Amino acid sequence: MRRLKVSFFSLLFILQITGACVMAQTTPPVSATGHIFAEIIPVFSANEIAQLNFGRFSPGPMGGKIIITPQSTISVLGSVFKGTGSFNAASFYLFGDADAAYSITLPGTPVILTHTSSAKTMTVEDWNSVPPPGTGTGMLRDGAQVVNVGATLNVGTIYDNPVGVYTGTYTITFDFN
Amino acid sequence: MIFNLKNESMKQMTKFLATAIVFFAFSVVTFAQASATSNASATIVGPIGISNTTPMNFGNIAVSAALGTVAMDPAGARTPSGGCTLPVVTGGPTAAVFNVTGAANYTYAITLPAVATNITGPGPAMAVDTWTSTPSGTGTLSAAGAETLTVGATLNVAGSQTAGNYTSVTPFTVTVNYN
Repeated sequence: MRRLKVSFFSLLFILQITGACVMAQTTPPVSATGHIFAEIIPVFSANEIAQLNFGRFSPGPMGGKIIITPQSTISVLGSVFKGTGSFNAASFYLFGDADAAYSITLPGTPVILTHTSSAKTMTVEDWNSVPPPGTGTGMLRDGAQVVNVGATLNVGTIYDNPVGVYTGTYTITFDFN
Repeated sequence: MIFNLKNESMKQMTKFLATAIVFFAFSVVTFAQASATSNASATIVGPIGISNTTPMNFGNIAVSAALGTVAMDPAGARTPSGGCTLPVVTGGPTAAVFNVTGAANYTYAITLPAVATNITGPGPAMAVDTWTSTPSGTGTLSAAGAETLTVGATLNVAGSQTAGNYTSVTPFTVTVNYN
C-alpha cells in the first residue's frame, strides 16, 4: 500500500516536471526571403544638331516679326521683307533609354540677340516645340528623338536694327523628371 | 545477526528518505490539510509564419557621373540623392511585401537584415542597405491572425553606373517571432 502511494507521488512529480518543460518551450523564429530589382537608365543626352536661324531679311520702315515654326516654315509680319538664303528651326537630338519619357522646358522670357558690331538688340520670344513643352511630353521611342524648336523674332526699324549679324544664346531643358 | 540488523536499518533509511522527498515536494498540501481545485488550461498557439508576396523593386533610376542613392520607404516612395534622378517612366517601384500569419492579436518581433545585400547586373554590384519596415520593430497580428509587413531600403549607385537590369543573387531575409 505504501509502495503504491510512493509511485503515485512519483508519477505526479514527473508530470509536474514535464509540464514545466512544456511551459518553458519557445516557438522558433521563422524567416522569409525576398529578391531586389532595379534598372539603371543610360545617361540622358541632348545635342543641338541645327541652330535656330531666321535667315536674311530687311526690316523695312516699320519693322515687324519673323515667325519660324518647329516645322521650319517661315512667315513675316509688318514691313519685314524676307530675303533669300537658308532659315530653319532649331533641332536637338536626344538619346537615352528606349521609351523613356522626358519633359521639355523652353525659355520663359524673351531671349536677346545682340548686334555683333554695336549694342543694338532684337528679342526672340513665343518659343514652341515639337513635341510640345511640358512634363512627360517627349518619349524616346527606340531610345532617341529629335526635338524641333521654333520662335518669333521681333524686328525693329532700320534705325533700331542696323544691317549686320545678331547672335544670342538660349537654354532649353530636357529632363527625365 | 549483525548483518541482518544492518540490512534492516538500511531499509528503514531508504523508506525514510523516500517519505521525506514526497513530503518536501508536496509540503503545502500535506501540512495545510486542505485542498483546492483548479482548472488547468492550455492555449495551443499556432506557429507564426511569414511569406514574401512582392519583391523589392527600385524601378528605373537615371544616373550621372556623380554617385548617389535612392531611398525607398516601406510605402514604396522613392527619394533620390546625389547623381541619381527618377525618370518619368517609373519602372513600377515597390517596397517588399511580406504576409505574416499566426495567433490572433499576438505581437511579434521583426528582425530586418543587419548587413547589405548586393544586386548585380551589367555593371559593378550595387549595395542595398539601411532597411526599414512598417510596422517597425514589433508587429501585431489582427483578429484574423494576419498582418502585412512592408520593407524598404536604400540603393547605393556608383557614378556612371552601367545601364541595365540589376537583381539580387542572394535574397534578403526578414525574420519574425512571437514576443
